[in-house]
Amino acid sequence: MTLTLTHYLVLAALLFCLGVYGAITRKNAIGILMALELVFNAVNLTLVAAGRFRPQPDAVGQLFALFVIAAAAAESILGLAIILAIYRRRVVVNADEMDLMKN
Amino acid sequence: MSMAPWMVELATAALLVLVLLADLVAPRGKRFVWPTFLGGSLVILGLAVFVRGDAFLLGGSYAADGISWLGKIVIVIGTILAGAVSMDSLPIQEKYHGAYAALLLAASLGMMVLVSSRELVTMYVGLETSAVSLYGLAALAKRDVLSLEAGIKYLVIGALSSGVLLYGLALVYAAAGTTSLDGIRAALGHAPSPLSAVGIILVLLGVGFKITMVPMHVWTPDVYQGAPTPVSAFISVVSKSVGFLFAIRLFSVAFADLRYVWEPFFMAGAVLTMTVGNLAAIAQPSAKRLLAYSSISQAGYLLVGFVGTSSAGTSAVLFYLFAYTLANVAAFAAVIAFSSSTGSDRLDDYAGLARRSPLLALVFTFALLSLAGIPPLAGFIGKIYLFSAAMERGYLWLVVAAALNSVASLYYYLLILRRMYFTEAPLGAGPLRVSFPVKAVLLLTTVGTFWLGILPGPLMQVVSEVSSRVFPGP
Repeated sequence: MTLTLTHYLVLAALLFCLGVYGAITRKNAIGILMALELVFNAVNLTLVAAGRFRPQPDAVGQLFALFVIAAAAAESILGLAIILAIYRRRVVVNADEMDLMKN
Repeated sequence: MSMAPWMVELATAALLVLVLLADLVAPRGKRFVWPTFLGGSLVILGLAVFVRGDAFLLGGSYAADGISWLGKIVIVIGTILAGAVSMDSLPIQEKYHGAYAALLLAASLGMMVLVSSRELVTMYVGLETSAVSLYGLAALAKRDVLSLEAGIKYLVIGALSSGVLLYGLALVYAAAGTTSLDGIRAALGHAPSPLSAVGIILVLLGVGFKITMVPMHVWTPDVYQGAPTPVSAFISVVSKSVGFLFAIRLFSVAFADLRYVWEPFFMAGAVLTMTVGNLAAIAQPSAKRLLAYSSISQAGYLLVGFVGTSSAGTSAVLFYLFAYTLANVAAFAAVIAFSSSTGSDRLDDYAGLARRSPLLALVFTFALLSLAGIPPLAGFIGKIYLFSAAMERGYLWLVVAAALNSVASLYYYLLILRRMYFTEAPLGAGPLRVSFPVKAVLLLTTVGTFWLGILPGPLMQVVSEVSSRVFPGP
């Protein structure tokens, strides 16, 4: 069996759904950040595969993926920093306990 | 290669470095930071207004055209106003003022890149630069748990929606084989493939987060309430305006021939956004949450104009962005003035404000009435243009829904006015002390609101010229 673009796209779609599901259902804030990484990896897989399987393969997909990796790293670092600051003040990592607003 | 089209971006980057240097020179104070920030950004405003070149750079992936010109003006105005109201009212330690000003500039630099790019990778880099800076700004008051909570909520929902947006962009790239907007339009043609249709809808959801379109608006009230108020003002005004320009670039340019795929979603989104925003605003006890829901409903009106024809819709959206920026910054500045003097954010405490500080109450009134769309203020003219853009495509029902919503929104705006004018102030409550920068911002935005409302002609001419050049033809 040869691998075609469709195989990669289906795998990426599964990864994406897993990531979104995890980000919505996880209670632990760090778990949410990890699920978000899955989403970004699904994006990267799609980009790289789409670039590779063009009639004339080019580097645009790979380039885009590199930028996505960099931006996702920045987001995770900031997220971890904020979670750490919250933990220091309230000893809370569960997202559903972060509910001071509204009341 | 000429440097002129890059001037504004380069100057902003230079000012960012300068502000960090000023912070180094006087590390524990804000003495140098804010003069540097304000002086520099006024120069940048001059550059943004007067340097206008129509040029395509980097092989067409970066543009200096009308949309980026007006977009940069809105961004710089919003940054200056947000900076000015921040100076004396930030709930953060003095040693972080340098970082705050630098993040504000980084966010506006990212947005400038976003409104100028005509290529997906560049757009994404601009988007993320601004988004990460905004998450940092929202969480910067780290002694305040609410601010941290706002920061993490903004970051998690923001990252999720940028993941959805990115996946959509990746599918569009997979379908079109190119990342340039013109190339995408040519490659996708008039009939969507399953890949491109799913991609476009995911992109729509991701953009919906930026412009607080229901149902992607859930983060808005919590973030606006928890973040330092000047940051809420900045997010509600500048980030939302940029979101709309981003939507114009993507949907009215790259996906223009597939209008029938995305238009129904935006129309449903417009109705939901207006209605949910207005209904939820009525019962809010907190001024910041009320402004959050009011700004959600404003996004709904903007969407009504956005689904109009490309050229009329774009010019109406551009005009309304100016009117909305002025009125919303004025409203937030009034809330900042009130809360930094009394320490309260509760609407009930606004009772008798008209007797305590008549001018502040009057200015707040004008801002709210402009948001509600009462003549002769800018919001009225802006809404007329938005609704007539939708009428050009014959969407009468949409315009009727928007007009009804406009009337309904008057109810909660008037509730605030009643509190300020017809309720007794608590015993012993004296006049408020309002700092000079906040006063200046209130004055400027109010004058601007009246000016655009009474003499809309010049700006209207500019925006219609810009959009007819970007969208030639009907």
